[in-house]
Amino acid sequence: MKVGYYPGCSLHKVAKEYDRSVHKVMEKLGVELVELKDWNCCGALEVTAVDHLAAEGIVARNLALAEEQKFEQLIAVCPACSYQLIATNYKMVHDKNKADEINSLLETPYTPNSVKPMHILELLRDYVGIEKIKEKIVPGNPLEGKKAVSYYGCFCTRPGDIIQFEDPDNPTFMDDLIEVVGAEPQFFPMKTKCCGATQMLVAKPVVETLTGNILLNARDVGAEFILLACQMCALSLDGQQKQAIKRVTDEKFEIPVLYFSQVLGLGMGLDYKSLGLGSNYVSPKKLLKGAKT
Amino acid sequence: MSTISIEKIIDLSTADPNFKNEVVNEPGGEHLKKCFQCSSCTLTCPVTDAGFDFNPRKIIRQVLLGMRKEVLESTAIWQCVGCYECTDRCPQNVRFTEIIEALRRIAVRNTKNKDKKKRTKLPKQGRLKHSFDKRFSESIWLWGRTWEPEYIGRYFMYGRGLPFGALIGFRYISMILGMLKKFKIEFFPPGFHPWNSNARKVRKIYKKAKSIQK
Repeated sequence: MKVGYYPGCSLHKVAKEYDRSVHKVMEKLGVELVELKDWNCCGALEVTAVDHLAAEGIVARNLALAEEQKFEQLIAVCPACSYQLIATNYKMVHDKNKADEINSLLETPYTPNSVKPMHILELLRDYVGIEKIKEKIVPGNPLEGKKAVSYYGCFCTRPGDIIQFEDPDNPTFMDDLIEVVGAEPQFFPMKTKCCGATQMLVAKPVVETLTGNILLNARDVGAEFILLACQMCALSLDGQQKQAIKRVTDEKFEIPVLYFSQVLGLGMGLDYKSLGLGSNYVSPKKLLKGAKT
Repeated sequence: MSTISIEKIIDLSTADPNFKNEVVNEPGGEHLKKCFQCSSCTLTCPVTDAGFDFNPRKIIRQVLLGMRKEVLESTAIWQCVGCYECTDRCPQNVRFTEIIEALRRIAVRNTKNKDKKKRTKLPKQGRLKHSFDKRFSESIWLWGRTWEPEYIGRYFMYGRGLPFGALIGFRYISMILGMLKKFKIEFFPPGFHPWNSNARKVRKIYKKAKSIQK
């Protein structure tokens, strides 16, 4: 199976371990990720706040490129990117005037719905299937029997009417992934609460409080590690963990934060270096102790 | 006996009844008038939950009443983290996150309004957030992709005005050092290859969009 791959700006350096582990895991599952040639930034939420039309134009350019390069599915690993791609496609399908306006900005026009943009979790659920992942898991992996929580963040499931992936209140696919590698998913009320990463460099106290509450809740339900699918969430939950915990409580604790691809990679018995486990801010060394390297 | 505080009374003689139409005409604000004030947005908002001064329902009510200056100059409209939880829960599909974006755009546009009565001043957090959004976009027009050290560096420099604006960078020193330690900072512009034409094409889209909106 061959799909288009839209990495997004942060995957090349800020979240290189995510990029690397996704490639390794997908290779193992028999999915070929072909990087979209000549892609540009999707603009995230920031460009929309400055110039509405240009923001839609630059997203549509990526979709037009995917159409030109004959991809049926366009996979984004960053939820903000996948949200922008899905939302622009959705708007162009449902509003003909808008589609014409956006197409007038582009060199090669984009036919709405000719490409299906989606997040990588959706590809895993609908096109690969949990059964196929189960086949590749080797017994005796270091995560067996560990307690874990899945953290979705915002754009994996919200806004529900546009993304149409899972129940925005209680998504469960990542819990299935935890179960597949042999760990125990815990009930986690803060599963879809925002970590506030978009305001990271503007309002530090807000972000730290939101993130701290999530971490505190994760510890209270007994999580030994957190599973997520967003590099911005990782930047606040993982990179800012010490400050965030300090902001909300006096206690000291540490929870390793892993990408879902790293967890699947560990389950498949891939070696630690190729999954980039050394690049996580909170070292997962303690979690993986006792297992063979 | 309790006394009524004078400040709490809303003086509608200074209100601008056309303000709600201005928001409705802005892309993203179309659904504003559907709101029936059920407060689902406020109850589900993580920022309100964490105890910060932010109340989506109040902002919508203020817009509907035409309290133009109070809304556009408030810190509240810059507090939103854009998580779309309110949009998801709203029974009337008001899409509050998009309304916030529309309000921010109106607030920024009106800082240069020639009509002195309508001119607004951005609060401190607004200036910072707008500066961040602007540097982020400029980075895209320049490189086609964002280059973090470049736009964040410029944001730290210009965020509060030169020469001392750069000092806010020190608040994030632990984060920056952490990223340096893990080799997560990109020192070269993205897509630096001469055959990469995306920056030029993206700039073209930007210019065209600007000329259409004028």
